[in-house]
Amino acid sequence: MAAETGTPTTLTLKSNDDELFSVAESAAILSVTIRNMVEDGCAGGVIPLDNVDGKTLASVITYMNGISAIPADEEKKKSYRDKFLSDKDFETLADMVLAANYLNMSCLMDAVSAKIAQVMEKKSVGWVRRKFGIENDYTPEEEAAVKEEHKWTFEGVETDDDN
Amino acid sequence: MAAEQEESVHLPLEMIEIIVPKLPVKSLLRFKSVSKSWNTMISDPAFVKNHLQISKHSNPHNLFMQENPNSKGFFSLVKFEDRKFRTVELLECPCAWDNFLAFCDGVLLLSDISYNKLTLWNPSTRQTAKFEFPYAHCCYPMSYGLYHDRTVDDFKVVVICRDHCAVYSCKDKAWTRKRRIQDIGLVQIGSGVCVDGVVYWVNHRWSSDGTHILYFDTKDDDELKVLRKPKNVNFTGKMIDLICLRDSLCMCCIGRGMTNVQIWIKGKGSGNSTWKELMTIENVQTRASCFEPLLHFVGNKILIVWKDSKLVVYNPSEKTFEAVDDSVLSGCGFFPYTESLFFPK
Repeated sequence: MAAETGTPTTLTLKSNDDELFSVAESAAILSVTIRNMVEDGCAGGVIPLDNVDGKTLASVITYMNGISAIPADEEKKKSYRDKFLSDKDFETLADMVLAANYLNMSCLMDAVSAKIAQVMEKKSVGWVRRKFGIENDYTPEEEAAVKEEHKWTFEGVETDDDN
Repeated sequence: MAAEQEESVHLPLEMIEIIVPKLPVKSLLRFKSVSKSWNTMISDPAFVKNHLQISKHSNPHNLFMQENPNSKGFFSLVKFEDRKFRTVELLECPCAWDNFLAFCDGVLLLSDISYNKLTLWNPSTRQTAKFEFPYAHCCYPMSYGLYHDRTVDDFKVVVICRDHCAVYSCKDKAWTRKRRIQDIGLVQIGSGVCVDGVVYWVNHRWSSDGTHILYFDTKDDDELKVLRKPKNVNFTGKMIDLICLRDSLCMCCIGRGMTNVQIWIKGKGSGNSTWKELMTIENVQTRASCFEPLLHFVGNKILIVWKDSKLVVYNPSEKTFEAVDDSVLSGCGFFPYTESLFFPK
């Protein structure tokens, strides 16, 4: 029987595809966006998160619960974050970085953006263009010249259909 | 597989600008070929500066460089991970060099055996610049420093000789030489440590007023000056060393009884001579006099190098030392390395 002051408060979060999630307030306030809503007393009912889909929100809540269960030990938190992100693909990471930005969670933001950079590190130019939807606006001559200037940086790139 | 239709993600520019500076230099140079706008973004001096700041503050890769005694002409790039060092890459130096003199913002200063021929080298971008030190015949250089003079956006090399200083401007490709106005009794000067555009040296003296710290700041008309010491630290006869930790100047000072090392951190700004005690490394098992001024944050722990080349990791919260596997290290000319896109034009 928890004393009244110790009763954990639970918040209900709603994704933009109408999924509902229960999460302990103590974990949810890792998000500054949610914390501000709680402090402003707007968190009584359901908190709508219009920019996050259910799949991503479920993942973010797993992270919130996992990281808030770890005591103040930066090394353990870091290894939790590494493990949490280790099996995520590029698309999932991109959704998470957008969610972390919207929810204003700087620790998740830092970890996910560093992980995306790690995924990109050995990728080809073609991979970056496709994944980020970037149009190649070089003329063939210009592209050849800029590649030639940094020729050695193309060594050891992961093989891919077009470089 | 090759024909697979992939959906691209649409990350706003502000997200791209957070992610991309976290990439290593080799990837960044390659990604200049992605598009004109990526090339413009990566080439922008503000981006170069931001990338360097991220690299310095976090050194996310825990990279170190060391002179390779086995194959002359090479440096090894080593990475520290899980209490272990491993070699990432052997980097072939672009010139015949005999001495490693200084490091700042990703750029190394090397010289030949006569100290006449100097080379600046950024191993990450593979850029080099060669120039001569014209005064080597008349004065023996005591110490070197590299710094980025932000007032004129110029990268400079400073050489301290017994009775004057010589400064090389990469922008002007020219030396200026100055006789020192103040007599500061140069005795034995340590290596120059560059922090935030200012170079600092320890001048080891055994006189009554003890060892002091010198600094060279362009704001003060290229004058070598003495920095005020912390009021509560007695320097007399003490061994102190300077290091750059997380972009701040730190002073390591061996305490009484040679069993502890105090670390002081200087306030930001060249004229700022306020010092704060950062921590004391206690229960030093090796004699503290074997302390080498090389410390590096690894998460919230500190990597320490002793003069007998043994490395340990110190855990400040538990005041304990952890062993490190340093079998790939040779123990000479070892320093934390920050990757950088920067090279003086």
